Amino acid sequence: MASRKQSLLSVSVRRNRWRSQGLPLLLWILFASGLVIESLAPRLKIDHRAFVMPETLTATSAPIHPDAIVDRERKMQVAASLLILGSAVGLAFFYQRKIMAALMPDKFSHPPSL
Amino acid sequence: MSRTVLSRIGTLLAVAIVAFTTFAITVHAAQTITTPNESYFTYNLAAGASSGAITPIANAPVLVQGVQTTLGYRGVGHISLLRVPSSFLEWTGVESPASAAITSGFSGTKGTHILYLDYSHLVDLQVDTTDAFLIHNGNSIAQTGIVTLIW
Repeated sequence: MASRKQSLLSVSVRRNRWRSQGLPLLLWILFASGLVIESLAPRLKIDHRAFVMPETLTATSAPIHPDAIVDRERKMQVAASLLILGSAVGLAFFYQRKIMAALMPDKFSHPPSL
Repeated sequence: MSRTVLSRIGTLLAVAIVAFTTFAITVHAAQTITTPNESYFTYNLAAGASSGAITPIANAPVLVQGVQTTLGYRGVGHISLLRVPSSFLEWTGVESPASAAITSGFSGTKGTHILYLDYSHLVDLQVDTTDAFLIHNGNSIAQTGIVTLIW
């Protein structure tokens, strides 16, 4: 009986540790991954509703595949935005008390009186 | 300044940075998704130089439009292009003035003329490989212009 209680307690401790340390770490990692993907994307400029290929591409003799570049840009932008948006929402939920306390210090600084 | 105030400022700063980053990246992604399949090349080629080979999408119609912007040599032309992978490029369209005539044909041979972009018919699109074309400046001075591909 005592060992069962102990194992339940240890599961609960692990769960709390995951919630307090593992989850925010995962969310920050996802957020950072989104930033990394965004920085690795071709980052094509959009002008007059068209993708502008950098002049450096036509200046060199390297082959250019505009459809592949545009496709890669789209896929990377979608992946980055999903990761960043998802993790930002998760972080907002996780830190909601802290954020609310920072936004409304008077309301959240003292526990409500009985 | 108390530790609580500093912590509050830090939290608000972090919230602002995360919110701004998320907003900027999401807006850019939305813009990227909604932009049509159109790419825009600016070229600036020295005398006798050629651009890199441009490979259009295969087995689908591609509209290629070009303008030459160098003063005294300005021109405009366009073609509809088909790429049959590893076989040839096929096109039809209208050459740049002066004497804008129909240009049409198919080829996979390097150097075959496709479309003149300038008034003097010295800058043109040429077949580079069976899968790609390039912009060639046959003029004795540098030439600039824009080529767009819509697919």
